[in-house]
Amino acid sequence: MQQARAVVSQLLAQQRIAEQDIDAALLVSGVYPSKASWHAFVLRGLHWLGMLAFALAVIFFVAANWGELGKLLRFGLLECLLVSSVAAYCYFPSHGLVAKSLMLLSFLLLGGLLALFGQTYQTGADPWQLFFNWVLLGTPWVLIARFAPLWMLWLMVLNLAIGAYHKDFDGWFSSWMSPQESVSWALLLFNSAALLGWELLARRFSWLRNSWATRLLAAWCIFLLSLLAGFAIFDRDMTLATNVVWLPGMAILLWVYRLKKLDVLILTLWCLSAIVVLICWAAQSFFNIDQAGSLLMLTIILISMASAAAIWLKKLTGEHA
Amino acid sequence: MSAAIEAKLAQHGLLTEGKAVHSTAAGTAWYINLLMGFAGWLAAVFLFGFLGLAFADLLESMLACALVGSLLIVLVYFILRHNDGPFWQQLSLAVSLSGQALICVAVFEWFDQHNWQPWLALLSLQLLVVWLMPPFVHRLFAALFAGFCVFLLCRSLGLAELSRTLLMLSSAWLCLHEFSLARWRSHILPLSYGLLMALVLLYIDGTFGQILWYWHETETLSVLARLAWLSKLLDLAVLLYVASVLFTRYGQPLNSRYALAGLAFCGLVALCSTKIAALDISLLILVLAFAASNRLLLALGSSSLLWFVGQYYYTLELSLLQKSAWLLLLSILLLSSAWLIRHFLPVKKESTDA
Repeated sequence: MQQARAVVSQLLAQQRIAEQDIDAALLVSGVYPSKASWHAFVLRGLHWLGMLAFALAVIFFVAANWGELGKLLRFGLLECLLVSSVAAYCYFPSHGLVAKSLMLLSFLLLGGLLALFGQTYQTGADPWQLFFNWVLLGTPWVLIARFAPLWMLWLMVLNLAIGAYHKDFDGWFSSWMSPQESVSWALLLFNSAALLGWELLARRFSWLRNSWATRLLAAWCIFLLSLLAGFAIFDRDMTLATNVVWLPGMAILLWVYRLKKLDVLILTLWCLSAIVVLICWAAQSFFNIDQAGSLLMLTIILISMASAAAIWLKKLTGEHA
Repeated sequence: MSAAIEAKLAQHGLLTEGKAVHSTAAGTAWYINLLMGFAGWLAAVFLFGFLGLAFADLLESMLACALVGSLLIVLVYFILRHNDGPFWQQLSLAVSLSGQALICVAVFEWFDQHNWQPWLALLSLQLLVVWLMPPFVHRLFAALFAGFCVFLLCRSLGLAELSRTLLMLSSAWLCLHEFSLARWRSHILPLSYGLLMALVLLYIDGTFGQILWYWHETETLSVLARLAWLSKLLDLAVLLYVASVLFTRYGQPLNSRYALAGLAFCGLVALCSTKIAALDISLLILVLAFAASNRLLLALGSSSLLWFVGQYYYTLELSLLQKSAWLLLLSILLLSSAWLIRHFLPVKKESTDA
């Protein structure tokens, strides 16, 4: 789709298609979809939008009447939906998209059921326990489904569990560092392990070979690294580990995604982190000396770094093609 | 892939002789453009800060602001005429945005911000930037600001709702003529993207942020606010226009059953969007995206649809029960339409050509 657009764009720029033939060329090349493609697009769109509208109508209806529903009805409703979605999963072929989406829905409904349980019975459990139990109970479904988006959702809920744990308690590393450092480190270590695990397992299991998933994990790791670097720059009381983690972390990411498995999008995020962290460091170092001068210097540094990044990334895109 | 497409075009006698193309050579990846755009915008903020601190008197003089701002933009134009490397593009974006900010300061010193003149002046400036500056990101920024200026201009004239129709119509026209006006494609593409982004952001802002809506308050009561049905009719006219262009493109007469069904569906969408805000805009973007195999617009349309559907829960115009009813009605209409199309408006699978 996008490739055909790119090719035709170049041909038009080179004036290799006569003006009177442009529409015909666009139809032949597939840039303008065929009538059959339009028919399929409209049908699929109407189906999905119709189902989405129906699902939302049900949710809004339940939400509107939630206060009037008794305990039994609330639990009954949610449990019926959960059982139905699992039963529907068993009915459809397990390798198909419908079945996998039903398993994802079941996982979400499980979370909803646990939240309702906690809200109704006021067990005194901490929020992190809700997320952790959700992950624990949902793990067999996640393993069975073999569906990358569901694995990402599972990891997201685990991240929430870690974050909630650190909010309620001082954190795993509270003996050596501040709470904000501790939670950032915990998330960084966990997600780095998750990214490493995903990349290694993707060599064996084809259903894990989704570039969007590794990019999402890598983006989150880069964000956490940059956050720790930000703490180190703006707060002098950070631990040695926080002060130095950014450099080796970025070096490892560069080695993996430049030399081992080229991914220009991850490297773009890498460049963004490098630019932001270095600008923060420069601002912190020089802003108190001369404000106007430091702003000019920051402008020059930023433009130079962004230009260098753009040249390098465009060159890599050409290599990647 | 590119060779296959060229061969297919040549086979149909649609291609003249020339150099073979490489499918990846066309344009920079969107994420690289995003990085450059972000860096350029941030550099502009720093540069504007420097100008403000180093030349504090500059901001107090309207004439100096206008003069320096104009000089910066002219300088950028001449730089870009002779240099097109990433460094010069970044530098020129930062300098141009700073120059435009200075001109903004001068315009608001000269005119009362409650009048329509400053917004018309700024709109003209943005359109001039789109015309003159070659880089894509530059034009995209200018188009985005132009979209905001259209809204604020209309609002100052008491016609805020008309801005929605104008943005829908202009961006739809640009998207539909992206290739037929091939010579102007480098202008049309960023302009259409910028205007559509402005439309989506204005809707998001109008619901939650209220920043732009409150920025310019006017005592003139909007005529179209009192005649809400009229503004919706204008939006419907845009949807009908898009549908008629697409049907004509595929050789379908407008009185054929396919075309009549399509036009009727536009009416239903317009009706539903009176109660489910921005539904028509999201669907319009999705249709325009599919019509030109544009993945970026497809992503914009999908994410805006999901956003507006999500925020519909929090809007206060209707109760949850009423919203539920409207959504149920919408789902019935959509699923019925799918059933009707499947049974009464089939398309032969082998008709892969128009």
